[in-house]
Amino acid sequence: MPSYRLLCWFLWAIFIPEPGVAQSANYHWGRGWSLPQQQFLIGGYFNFTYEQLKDSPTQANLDDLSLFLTWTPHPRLRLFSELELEDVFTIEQGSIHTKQLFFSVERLYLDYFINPTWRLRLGKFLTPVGRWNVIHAAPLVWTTSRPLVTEHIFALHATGTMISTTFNLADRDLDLSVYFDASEVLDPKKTPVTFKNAGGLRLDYEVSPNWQVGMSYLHFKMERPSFQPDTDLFGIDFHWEWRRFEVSGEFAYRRPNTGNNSETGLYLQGVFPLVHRLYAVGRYEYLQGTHFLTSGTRNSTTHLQIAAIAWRPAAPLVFKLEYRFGQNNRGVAPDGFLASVAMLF
Amino acid sequence: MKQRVKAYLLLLCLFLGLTGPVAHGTELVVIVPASSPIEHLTLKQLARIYRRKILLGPSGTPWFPLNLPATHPLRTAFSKKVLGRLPEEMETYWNTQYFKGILPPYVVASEEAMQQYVRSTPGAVGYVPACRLNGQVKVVAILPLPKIPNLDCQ
Repeated sequence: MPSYRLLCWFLWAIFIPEPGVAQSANYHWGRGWSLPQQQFLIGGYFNFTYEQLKDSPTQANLDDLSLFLTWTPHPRLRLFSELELEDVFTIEQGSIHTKQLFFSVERLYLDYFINPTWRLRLGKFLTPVGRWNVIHAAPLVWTTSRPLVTEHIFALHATGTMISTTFNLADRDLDLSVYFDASEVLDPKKTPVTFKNAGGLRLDYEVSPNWQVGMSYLHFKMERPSFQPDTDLFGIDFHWEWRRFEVSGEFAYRRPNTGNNSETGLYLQGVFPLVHRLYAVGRYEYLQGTHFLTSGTRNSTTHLQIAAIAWRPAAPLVFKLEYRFGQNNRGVAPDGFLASVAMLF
Repeated sequence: MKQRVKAYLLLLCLFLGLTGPVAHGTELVVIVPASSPIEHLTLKQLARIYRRKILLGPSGTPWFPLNLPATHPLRTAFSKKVLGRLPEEMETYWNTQYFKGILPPYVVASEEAMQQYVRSTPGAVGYVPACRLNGQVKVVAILPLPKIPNLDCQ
């Protein structure tokens, strides 16, 4: 009997429209396919890249083909998933292959709105360290390459629970998130770089509508290698924009409890409007330490500079071209050209 | 001679400027359904609702914010007043929200459609010029705005 009731509730949630003026299913470029009566939203994005890097074969690659599904069966519940096909195909030395193709569950979580300001999340989500990781999708960022400090010093996903709220501080929003990871138990499809366990805190403060600052703290232990000790990570970041100019940056410091093999990294990026929806982008990156979560022996200081052009003919579409060069960067981000086209659909 | 003509023209402009009609602002009212328990919304609350930072109202009904088309002068004025930005400056923000599964406020074609939606949709929030209010909705905020051409109510 309870299962029958549950089924009835499920069918009611899907097929009985919300009260009010009826809206029909609609598609908007870059905003997905919306089924308002069923409370479904289907969307996604793709990213196609071209790389010509030093000491590597030139290749073109359909990097990401991502699908978002959002379902709101009840005003207090929202289910969100991002399913991704990565490295769908690669064009290399005149041939096409799909050797590296794999499927990943990028995000899969259920949000429960406890009240208008408190939200509980359960599932797999992007680790809220810094600003880049939580909006890393190619159509949302200005460069084809990703800053090292946002990628190499913590696991990009956490699977567990997160509670978030917004406070009012000096008449501005202060967003707070506290989260705990239990990937070992909950994540059905672990990636090689996974937390064994983790707990963290994220604060975002809106200094003005154009200026946000953030702070992150994370305590974690990686699944592999098992010998790596418990580690603390501290981060600060900011994002400032004025008209179409933008300056952003992130800094992170990671320190294992043993005190050895700490890591420090940062990036500073500027975006300058040129002519109609064409932008010049410059970025400096610094990374000092072991560079990889999975190794503990390497130790060096990397400097990277990126000069890029981005053209956004429409909000959901971006073409990017960049040249990357640096010092001690061969192993992590070699010199060369990168180009890409990315689109939200 | 040219100097004198310039001086006369300047005087004429000053005279017209001083004696012309005083520019009055537009009063915008924020509306919810008449049956809504909400009595008042602050600018801060409106900003959170229209940025879709809060999705749920105090009584558990989801917020359903409505917007006029991006090129509508009233939308531009509302966006600047409440969000501190023009609609086109919000594109990046909405791209990011879409990546999190959240869509921008629903866009209706006209002020009449806005009022019709608000009347019949629980949780709806909309805005119209005060002079075009035609009942069966509840006013929860009044926003004085600079004068908007073509929106005078005569």
